[in-house]
Amino acid sequence: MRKITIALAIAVAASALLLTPGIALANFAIHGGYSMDTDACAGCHRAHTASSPLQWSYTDPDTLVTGSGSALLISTADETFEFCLTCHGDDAAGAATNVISGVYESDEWGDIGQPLNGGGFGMNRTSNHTFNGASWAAWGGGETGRDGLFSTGAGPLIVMSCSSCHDVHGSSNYRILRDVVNGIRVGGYEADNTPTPYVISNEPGYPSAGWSLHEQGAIEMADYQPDYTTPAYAKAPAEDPDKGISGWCRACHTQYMTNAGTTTQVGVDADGYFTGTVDPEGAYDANDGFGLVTRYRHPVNVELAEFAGPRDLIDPVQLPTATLPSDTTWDEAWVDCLTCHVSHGSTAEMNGFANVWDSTNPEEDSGVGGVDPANSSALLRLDDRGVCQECHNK
Amino acid sequence: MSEHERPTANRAPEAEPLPAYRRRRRALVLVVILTFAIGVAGAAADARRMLADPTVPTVDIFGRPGTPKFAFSVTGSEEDPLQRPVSVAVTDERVYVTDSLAGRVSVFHHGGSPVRSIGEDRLEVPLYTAVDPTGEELYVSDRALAAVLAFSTADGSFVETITPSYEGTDTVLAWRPVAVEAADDGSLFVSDIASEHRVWHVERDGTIIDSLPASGTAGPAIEFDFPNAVKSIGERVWVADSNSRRLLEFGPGGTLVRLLPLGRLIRGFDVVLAEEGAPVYFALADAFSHEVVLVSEAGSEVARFGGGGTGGGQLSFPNDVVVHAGVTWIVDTGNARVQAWEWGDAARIAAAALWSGGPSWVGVFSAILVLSPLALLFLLRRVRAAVSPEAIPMLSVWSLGGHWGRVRLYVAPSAGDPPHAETLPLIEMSPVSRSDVAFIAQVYSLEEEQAETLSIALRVRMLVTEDETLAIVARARGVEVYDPGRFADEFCSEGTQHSGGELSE
Repeated sequence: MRKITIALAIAVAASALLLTPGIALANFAIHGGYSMDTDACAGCHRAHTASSPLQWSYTDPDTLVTGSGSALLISTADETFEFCLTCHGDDAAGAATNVISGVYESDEWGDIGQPLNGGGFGMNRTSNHTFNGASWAAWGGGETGRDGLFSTGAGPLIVMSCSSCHDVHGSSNYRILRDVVNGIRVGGYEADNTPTPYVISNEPGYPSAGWSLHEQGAIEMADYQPDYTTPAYAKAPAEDPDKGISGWCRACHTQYMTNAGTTTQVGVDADGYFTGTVDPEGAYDANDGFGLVTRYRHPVNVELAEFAGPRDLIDPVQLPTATLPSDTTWDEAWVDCLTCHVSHGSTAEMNGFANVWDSTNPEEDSGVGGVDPANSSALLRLDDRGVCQECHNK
Repeated sequence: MSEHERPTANRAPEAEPLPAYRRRRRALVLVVILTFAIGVAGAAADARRMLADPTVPTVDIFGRPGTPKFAFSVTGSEEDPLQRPVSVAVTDERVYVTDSLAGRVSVFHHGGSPVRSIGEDRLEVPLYTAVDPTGEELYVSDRALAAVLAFSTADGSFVETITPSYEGTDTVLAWRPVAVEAADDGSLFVSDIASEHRVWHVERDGTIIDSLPASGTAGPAIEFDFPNAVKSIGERVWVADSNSRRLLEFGPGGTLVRLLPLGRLIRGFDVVLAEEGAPVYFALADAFSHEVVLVSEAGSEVARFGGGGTGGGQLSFPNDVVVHAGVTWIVDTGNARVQAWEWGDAARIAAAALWSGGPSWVGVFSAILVLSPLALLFLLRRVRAAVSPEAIPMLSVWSLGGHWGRVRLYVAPSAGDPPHAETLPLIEMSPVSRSDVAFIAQVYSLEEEQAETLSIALRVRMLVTEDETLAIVARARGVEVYDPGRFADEFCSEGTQHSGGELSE
């Protein structure tokens, strides 16, 4: 009887350990670096009297087990963006990074009054990522582009808020970009807490191996000098072509790292990473009138030098390419998503053939501010197709 | 003994199960009593919570005991509604509200009717505002322009941009102004988040007088973290150091007089000073708790009111508060309006609490439960049943000495005049549709009298009969069928003279 009791106790204890969601690990990034006697936690949280219904959703990077619970936030904000904009908003003077106007308002970590690297979400935008908690379909998301009753060229709906992309308490990635996005692991930590980031930076003092946890993270944070107005994008860790910001964006924009055809997401491997097969002739419906045909895409995570054709690329390219400190020539740089696009919002204007309603019968300025499928400026950095000309000099 | 034997008086009462109908009735009554009790308890508890709401205590702030009471909201005109109000300045004649989304200052009468807009062609993201002591100029900080602009209050015309510079130099200070306050002597206090967060004290022409925290002064080193509001009275200056969640008071020469840790994200605030020498209170707009908090000069909380929501008297991310002539003006940013609260007398506490807080979901649910006795009306319904002629004598026997209450029986016309007996419930002859009867008789192969009885039973959904054929057809049509004994058990209360022993076989 005693053996059975002991065995039962062990089984219960083991079950509790296995079924309990992973603990929240403090990290040292933008919203981190708290000291042991900090009062900063109380700035946003209440342990026993939280009044906000906002949930803390969590995907364990190792097991991909999801969980949620109250975020224990003060305020009665029922959308994440409301809470974040209490400091980062246009009229809320609580942070120098004003993500509505998209302006940095200090001279401490950037140029005062200059645009944020990610742009802003506010008025006068010609496109922006959804941030108000609405459901949103990522262009190129999904596996076939025909998800849902009607073909939309986009994948399953994703709830989009600030916390869909950012982990307020830190991650292994640059700019507290989440380690798990849309159920796909895009960063995180090994069992021994070694960071495995997808996105790193060349900013002074940035830990190129990714943000460490705990005391080591605090040491790294002390040396870090972020720059919110001048991009210093880095190539992927170990120059892994499946990572970098492009690999991170692929968590939602599934198809856009495929040069041609489709990527069929098989699932995630034992570590939670994206696993898929590429069919170079696979058909994809982008909802642009051409239907289910093979799609061809601009390469990403490739060196500019690979595309020095009969007419050289502009030397040097002015767009924010991704580099490594060890690069010796400009054309060693990678082109990735952020080379041409901003992450928050764009004010670029689309005109002429960059503003077409029907791609099968393009007529200048017949569109509503862009081309299919987004019909907007698609977060592009420059007017019309200035981003093309910046490199190709046609 | 028959299987439908009537209960007898010589049986032990405790051994007799109640008839099903009465069991159901008793259960209904018990459920209603229980539900009503729960409802009363819940409603009483919620009413007690509202009436005893500690957030609206009686406080002597304006020289008389009172409590904050929501009066009305200012939302702008239909053509130009407030979109995202940020701050408010109040004079004896006007209420000035900055609107960061609309890019203008909306001007209202004290009653809330719009007067005009200011700065639509100049302002981009106006933040805080203040009126100079003469009432002639309105100062507005603009986040996008990184400037403080002066407008005429008389006609709303733009006067000039105030550019800060040190006396004797042409070097203009690059600042990112947030809070703006007009001092009694015409100078300005402007908080700046550009680099080292500080509060500049400048002349009206922009000449820098000094700054807070003052350099070289004795005392603890002070570092501001996004100071969002500044107020001054005479030589006393108060600064809301928002992200540090504290309020600081400075005296002459910029010396730190008092530091109040508040633990709240305070954006705008106002100093409530009823008269010279009276105790000072602070009205604080707490953006996260959606409340206005009144604290004493010593930092202790004396009242808080508002609370999150969209209803009258509820707030969403309030960003500024001004107390003027006994009226508290609250910028309800998230709800795109400015609320006016009066300082009501103590007798209005309950009304104010009810209006501002409102019942909780528990209260609403409890109020619904209190209505549960209405379900007892179900017991007053009349029991109506068709009865076949052969069942009538048996009903008479089974109900000997009993009381039928609200039972009404209907008999077929072909059965002849219904019997009249004191022991029977009221029996009436019911008219029937001949075509229905003919149809029923044909479809179910019934005699005319059977068909008439079934026709009535289909209408009243209940039948008392000993006719097995009729009972089978009626059950198949969804009619509740009783034999006389069971019907008497269900619906006839037992009489004292009844002796079921006579019915024994």
